Amino acid sequence: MAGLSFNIVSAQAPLRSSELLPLPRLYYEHSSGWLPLPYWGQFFLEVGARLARYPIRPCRCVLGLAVPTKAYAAALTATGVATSLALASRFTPADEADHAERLRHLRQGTPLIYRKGNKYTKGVFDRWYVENSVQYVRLRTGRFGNEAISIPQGLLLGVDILRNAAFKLPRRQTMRDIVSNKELNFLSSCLGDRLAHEIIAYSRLDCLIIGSKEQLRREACDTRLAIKSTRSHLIEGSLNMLARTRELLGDSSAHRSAVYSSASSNQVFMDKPPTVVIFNGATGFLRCRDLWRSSHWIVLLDRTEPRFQEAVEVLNQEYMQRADEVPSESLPVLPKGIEAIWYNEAF
Amino acid sequence: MNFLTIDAANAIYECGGGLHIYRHPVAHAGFYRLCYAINTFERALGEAADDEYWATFIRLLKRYRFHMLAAPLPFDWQDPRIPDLEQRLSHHVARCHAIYPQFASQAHKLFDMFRLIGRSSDNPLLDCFLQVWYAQPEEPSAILVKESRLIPATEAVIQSNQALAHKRVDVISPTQADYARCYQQLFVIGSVCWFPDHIFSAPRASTIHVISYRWLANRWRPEPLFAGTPDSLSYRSFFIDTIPGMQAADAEESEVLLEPKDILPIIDAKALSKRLSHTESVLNPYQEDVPARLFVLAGDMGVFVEAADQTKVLAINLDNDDGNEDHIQRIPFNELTSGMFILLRTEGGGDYIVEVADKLMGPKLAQRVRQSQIRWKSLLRKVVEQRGLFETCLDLIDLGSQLANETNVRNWMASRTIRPSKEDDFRAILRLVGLEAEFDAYWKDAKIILEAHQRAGFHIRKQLLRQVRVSDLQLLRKKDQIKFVLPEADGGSLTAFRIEYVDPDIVQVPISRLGELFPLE
Repeated sequence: MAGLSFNIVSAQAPLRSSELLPLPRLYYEHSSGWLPLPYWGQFFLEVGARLARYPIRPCRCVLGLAVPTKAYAAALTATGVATSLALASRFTPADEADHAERLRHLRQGTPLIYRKGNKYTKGVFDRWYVENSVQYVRLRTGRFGNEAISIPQGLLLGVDILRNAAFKLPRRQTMRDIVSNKELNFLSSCLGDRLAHEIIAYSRLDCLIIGSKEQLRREACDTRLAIKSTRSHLIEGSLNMLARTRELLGDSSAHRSAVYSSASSNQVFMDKPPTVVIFNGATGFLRCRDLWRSSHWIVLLDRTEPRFQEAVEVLNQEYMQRADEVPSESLPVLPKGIEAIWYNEAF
Repeated sequence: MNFLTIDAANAIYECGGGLHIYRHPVAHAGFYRLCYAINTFERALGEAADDEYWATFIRLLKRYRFHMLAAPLPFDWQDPRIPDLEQRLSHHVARCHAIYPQFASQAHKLFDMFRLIGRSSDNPLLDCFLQVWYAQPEEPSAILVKESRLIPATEAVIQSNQALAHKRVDVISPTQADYARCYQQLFVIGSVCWFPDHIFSAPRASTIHVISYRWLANRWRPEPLFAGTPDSLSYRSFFIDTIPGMQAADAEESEVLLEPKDILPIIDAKALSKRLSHTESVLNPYQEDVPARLFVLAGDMGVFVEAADQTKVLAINLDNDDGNEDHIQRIPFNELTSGMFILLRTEGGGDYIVEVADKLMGPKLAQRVRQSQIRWKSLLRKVVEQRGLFETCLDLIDLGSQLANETNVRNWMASRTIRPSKEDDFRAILRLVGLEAEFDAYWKDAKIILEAHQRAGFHIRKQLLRQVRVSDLQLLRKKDQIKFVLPEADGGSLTAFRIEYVDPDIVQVPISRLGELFPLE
C-alpha cells in the first residue's frame, strides 16, 4: 500500500517478569474464558512498580501519560506501587518507633483497631505505659471498661487509628478475621504468606489516587481477576486486594493507598506524604497540582477528556523547570497509543 | 464516565494499535463553483460585507455551504431552522438593484448558482459513503459529523436508504460520542481539521474513512504532545492512504483549496454582546455591563455567563473525572467545556435560587431581609453615581475596607451579590452610606439571605439529582437538551443544554442578560 506510513513499534511482546513487581501473571475474565492481562495492563502495573522504587531524593520524578482511555490505568498503577513497595519497603523498628510516638500522644477514648495475623479487634485508646523497659499501648475493648488488652512494643504497627467517628464499642468482642480465606489465599499466592499478612495488618499510605472513587471501585473491586496456582488452578481476586485503597476497604483491613476527590473539601488523613501520587484525569491534576509536591507523580490524561490539552500544556510548562531527564530505558516500552513525558524535578 | 470492562478497554487499545486512515476525496463541479463563488463575492463586497444586508445574505449562504460540506445531505435539503432559504435569498437579491446596484449582477449570479445546486437532489458525500460501505459492510459503523444538529437529518438520510435501513450505522458528533464504545469503521465527514485530535490519536475504530470534497483542505499531521518527545512519532502507528480505484482524484489544478476554518460558521461574541447591550440600553440606560463569556449551546442558542472568579454554574458533567460522583455540579465558569450540559431556567422566570430561598425563609422574613439588602445597595449605588467608582473605592479603603476595588464595588452593588465576604468591607460600606449604627442588624440579615440561598441551592440540586437519577444517562448523552420539571417549584423547569462551543473571549454584557437564553441567528 502506497502513501504516508509511520513505523510501528513492536510493543506487544510480553514484559519479562520484573524484580520490582512481585506478582505472577494476572488473568481477566472474558466471554471465552480467562485471558492474560493485555500488554497495556502489564505496562501500568510495571510503571507503578518502577516509579515507586525510584529514589525520591534529590529529585522527585514526574511521569505524564497520555492514554486513549484511562480505564484501569489508575487501578493497575496503584497496584504496581503498593505491591512493589510491600516487597521493597518492609517495616523497620524505626517505623514502629515513629508509630509508637504517634500513639503515645493520642487522646483517651480515640477509636483504635488492633490487627494481628488475619485477626482484628476494635477498641479505644486507654493509655500508653512502659513496663520492664517495654512500651505498651492499652486498648479498652469492652463498653464497660472491664475488657482490655495491652499491646507490647514489636506489635504496635498492628494498632491503627479508626477514622469512623460513629464507632461504638461493643459489650464484648472476640478477635475477628480481617479478610476472608479466599482473599488471604489470593494474597498469599501473589505475595507469599509473610507479605500477605503484613499488607492486611499494617497500614501505610504508599499511593494516593486523585480521581473518582466510583470508577476505582468498579475497576479495582468489581472486576474479577485471577492468577494461576502452581497446579494451574485459577485463584480469583481483585486489584484492590493488592492495592488496598482505604476508602474501598472496610475499616477492619489495613490500607496501602487512598483515593481523594479533587472536588472534595475534605482533608486527606496522612501522617507523611505518599511515595506516589496518581492523578487520574486532567481535572484532578489541574486542580490539585500544587499539592503533594514531595511525592513522585503519575499523571494519567485521557485524550478524550475535555481538559486534556490544558493539562498537557501545564505538564509541558512544568517540564521546562525540570532538573533533568529520566533515561528512556527506565520506562517499559510504551503500548501503542500512549505518549509519555518523564522528568526529574528538584525540590 | 462509563464503566468499561477490561475487554472493552482492550478493544480501545487495539483500535489505536493498527489504525488505518483512508481519504476519499469527492468531486462535484457545480457545488465547487458555488463554494468558491461565495468567497469571491464576499471579497468583492469589501467593507460592504459588514453591512447587515450583506452579512445576512452571506451568512445564510455560508451556513448552507457548511451543512453540505459537513454532512452527507442532499443539496436540496431544507434546514428546518432556516425554512424557505431559496425564497429568503431571492427576496434579498431582489432588493439589491435599489440598495447596492454595483453588486447586483454578481449577487444574482451567485443566487442562480445556489438555486441550481439547491434544487438538485445529488448527494455526493452519501454516494461516496455507500461506495465505501458496500466494499466493506462492517458493523457496527458510525458516521461522525462536525455538529450535533446535523445528526437528525443525517440519520433520516441513512434510514431512508434501503440498503442501510437495518444496519448498525450510528451518526455521532464529537460532543455526543460515547467514547466507551468502539466501531469497526468510522466515517468522518468533512475536513479532519474540524475534529478534535483524539478522534485520530485515540480512535474508537481501527479503520477511519475521511470523506470530504476534494477542494476542502485536509492537511493534518500528528504532532508530539509532550515537550522533549522526539518528533519521530514512532509511538504512533497508523497509515493515511487512499484506496486505489475507489475515489476521485485530488483537487484539480484549477480548483482552489478552501481553508476548513473559513468554512465553519462564525460566532461573533463581540457582535452578539453589542447587540444585547444596544437593546438593553434602550430599555434600561443605567444598567451596568459586566464581563461575560459566551457559551454556544446545541440548537443554535447562546448564553452569556458572568466571567468573575467566583462564578459557578450549575451543570451536568457526564464525564466528570474529578472524583465527584454526582453528575450535577456547580462548576467554575472557566472549567465549563463543550460536551457538558449547562442548566438554565426555561420556565417560571426570574432567578430560581432567589425564588426558592424566599420560599424557604417565608414571605415576612424574606420581604424584610430583601428590603434591608435593597436599602444599603441603593445607598451605595447613589454614592457611586455622585462620586464615581474610583473615588468610592478610595473612600471605602479609608473607612477600613480591605478588598475595595472597582470590580468588587461593582459586584457589591449588584443585586446578585448578597454581601462582601469580609466583615471589614461590609462595615466600611455601611459607614460610607451612614448605616454603621445598624451594622449588626444588616450583617445578620445578609447572613439570613446567604444561608437561605445555600439551602435553596441544596434543595434545587436535590430535586435535580432525583430527576437525573431516574433519567437514562446514555439517552442524555445522545440528546442536545433535556428538560427537568421540578415538581416542588410551582411548575418551574430547568433545561440542560449541551455546550457546543466555548468562546475564548471575555466581552461586556448587560447584567440582566446574564444566564438568559437567546437564539444565535
